[in-house]
Amino acid sequence: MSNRVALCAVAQIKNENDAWHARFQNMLHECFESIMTQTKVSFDMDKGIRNIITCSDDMFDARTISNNGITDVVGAQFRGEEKMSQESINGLGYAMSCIMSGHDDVILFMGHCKESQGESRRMVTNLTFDPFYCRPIGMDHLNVSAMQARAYMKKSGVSEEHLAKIVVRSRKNSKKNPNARDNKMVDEKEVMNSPLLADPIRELHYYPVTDWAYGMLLCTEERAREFTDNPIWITGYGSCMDSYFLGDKDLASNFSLKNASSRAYKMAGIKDPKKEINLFELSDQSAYQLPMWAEGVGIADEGKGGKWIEDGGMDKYNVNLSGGMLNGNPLLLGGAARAIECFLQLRGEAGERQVKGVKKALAQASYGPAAQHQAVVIMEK
Amino acid sequence: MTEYWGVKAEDIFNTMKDRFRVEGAKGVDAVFGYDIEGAGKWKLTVKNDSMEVEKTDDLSGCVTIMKANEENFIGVNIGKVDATNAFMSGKVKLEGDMGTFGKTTKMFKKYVPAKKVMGTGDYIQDMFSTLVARFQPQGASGLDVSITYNIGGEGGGVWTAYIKDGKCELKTGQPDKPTTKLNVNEAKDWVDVMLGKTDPFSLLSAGRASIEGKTEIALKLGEIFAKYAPKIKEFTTKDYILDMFGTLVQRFQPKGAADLDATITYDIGGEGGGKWTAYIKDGKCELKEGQPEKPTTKLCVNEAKDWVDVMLGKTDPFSLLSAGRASIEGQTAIALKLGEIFSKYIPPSSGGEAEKEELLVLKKTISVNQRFATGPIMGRFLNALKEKKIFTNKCPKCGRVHLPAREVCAECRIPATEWLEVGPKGQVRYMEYVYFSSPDPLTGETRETPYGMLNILLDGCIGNDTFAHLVRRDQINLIKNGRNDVAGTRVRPVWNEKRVGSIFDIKYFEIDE
Repeated sequence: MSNRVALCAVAQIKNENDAWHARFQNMLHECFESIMTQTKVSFDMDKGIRNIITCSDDMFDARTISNNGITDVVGAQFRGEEKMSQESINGLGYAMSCIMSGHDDVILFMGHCKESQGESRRMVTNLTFDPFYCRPIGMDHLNVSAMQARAYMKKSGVSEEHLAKIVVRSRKNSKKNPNARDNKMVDEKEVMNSPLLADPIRELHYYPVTDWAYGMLLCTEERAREFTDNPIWITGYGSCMDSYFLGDKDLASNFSLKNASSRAYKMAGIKDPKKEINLFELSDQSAYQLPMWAEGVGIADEGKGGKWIEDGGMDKYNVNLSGGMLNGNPLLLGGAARAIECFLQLRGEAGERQVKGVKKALAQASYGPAAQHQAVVIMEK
Repeated sequence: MTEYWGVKAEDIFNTMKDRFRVEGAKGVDAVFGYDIEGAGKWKLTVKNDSMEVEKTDDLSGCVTIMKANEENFIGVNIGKVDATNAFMSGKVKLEGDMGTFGKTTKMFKKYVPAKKVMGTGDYIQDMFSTLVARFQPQGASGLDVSITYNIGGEGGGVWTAYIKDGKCELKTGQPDKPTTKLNVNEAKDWVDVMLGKTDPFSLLSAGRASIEGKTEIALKLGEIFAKYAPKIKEFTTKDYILDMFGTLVQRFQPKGAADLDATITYDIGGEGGGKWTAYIKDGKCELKEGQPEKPTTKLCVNEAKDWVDVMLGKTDPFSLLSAGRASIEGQTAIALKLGEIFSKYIPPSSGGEAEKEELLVLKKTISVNQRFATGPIMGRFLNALKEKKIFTNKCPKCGRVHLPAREVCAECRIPATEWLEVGPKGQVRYMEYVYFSSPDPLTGETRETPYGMLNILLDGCIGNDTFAHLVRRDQINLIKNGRNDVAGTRVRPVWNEKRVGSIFDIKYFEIDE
């Protein structure tokens, strides 16, 4: 049994601010059709897809067991279908387990989220908190991130100007990504004058409400050539969960990301990520997170995030050429979006934003209050 | 005819036959007349052990005629007006033989007004008449507001609570601009809310209630006023006695009766009384009516009412004993231990048992408004309903018809691209009788039960291509399910006048004949 898993094909729709014209079923089905066309995979019980992993969130879908309405559009009728209501990047880890354990040799992995459907994303994320102690205080992902932002920015010398630079760059990069959400180009002054949502996070520092869906086909190394001439290999995965209650952890410590990335590096045999990895996609839900996660995965020095930005670290390490999560991917799906970008770059299919000679790439994602949970995937050509 | 204390004059006459006591009428042979102003005249004929009462205009031949107005007559009969005073002051007059008429007082058992079931109007009246008493100054500290309750429908009305300086005053009507105004379309709904049968949020979301002005005051009502508890039917002595002995075995405490082998007889006299014996042995207790030849201990109480007072803690048993209104025969020591043998009697009016408290109560309604897109397929299906058509799609490969329209054929995994019109009539495949209905999650409204939920094989469909909807409520008992080889009841849709592109553009299906 080989210790690498093949990612054979990816599919996505364009990230949109409001996909008013489609149900999430329509969004998913578009991705499903694309995977079928690209790979000609079947649902044969011996040779085809026997198991589908889906990623969705009950609260955003406004139904419990949110996968019950999508069985048909992901081809799961009379097949296994397992839902994950976690950051989508964990779906890659789960698909790897299914394949490397020998239980399945082909996995279809689909996900969707329509953030625009709900009245307020902040109301939804309020529900992720403890109902007795934290919800009543009004905690949501935004204002809790703001607490972390303060702690981290102080520790690492990240300034308001740095944040503005990150936002402006993200928007510029997204212009070269045809699947990125269409956002207005802004300059640093506009960013610094945008409304303060929860100090220090301003409106333009925070990822906008977005609708999106994706699909991926994964399989064993042995069968990869049946579905593509150009498979990309997933060689490392690590994830780590930190404390649920904010007071239990040092918000600026990056503990869970350091832990997750070191596990992924170990699995992929990476000693020095700065030298060995050519491209990084980090899930920056908010601008401050980009240098913070860069520290976490080891491409910026600990406590030196501000300086790293000034020294051109973002471009030097090819970070978030897709525009990043900051330009707009729905909650839960940031990790899948990062992995899809790595796949396209490794295959040389990233169009205008293509970096030459990418051999190894890293996708990172986080989920939960102040990035409680972290996961990292290493992909290779 | 008017009601006083909830009683009409005719109620008293109509119940005379049931209240007649033969032993009180011994030796009486007379006709009595009653002339009740505003109610009419009645004639009572008593002949030894029989009686007749009739409403009549002719009071000739009566030995005595009683004259009174309705209020005094009813008041005297139910004990609200003192009979002697009424007579002395001339409010009740007797013409003829007063001595014989005096015997009527022993001829009838006391009139007890029938307990009325509380209607919506009664509840509303009771809620608002107790509102000021239920006001909680600590929950309203710092408040200077007027809260108007605008309750529509039968039994409704408009009331305003004026709250200021920790005081509350209730007036009917409303000021020009109340701080908060609560509109409830139907009084019945408000009663349900107050009795905890419905939650106010479902009323609001169903559009059956609304709040004007400051919403936050409405959300604080639970703190400003104590919970409304409906009046509990008043217990009579007999009710108490029955309840005490009915709960005696469950109040038995084996710990307090260790090694006890005894029979304890309760001999309770007077109205509501009776004789019961508790047989206690091996840590067990059994209650029987009557008494054994020689009970270990016998407790005699002359009047049931006294015993009720003892059990409710209003009188102490020793004063009854020393006043000679109760006595103990046999072993006195066991009587003194009764408090250990049986746990204290708690009357049902205090809730019967201690109210079970939740360990944790989270008063939060999780609600995030949603706006759903239809996409092209669902949109086409719903739009056709507006045109009174069931227009849906079909798998081009296996021919399966989807109801409702679906993006893909789940089994063939290809888009269902062919569109066709089916029904709208069809035959019932399955029907379910639903007896307990939970609120409609989209509207918060509760359906009336029982109702019938159908799966219909619409004309043009085969196999399991069925469509789910409701059946006309008065026809649920007439529906027959079908199978592939047996036809089910034929049904047709009843369309809504106003169609908006929703499943309820069809109100329900009804039998097509």
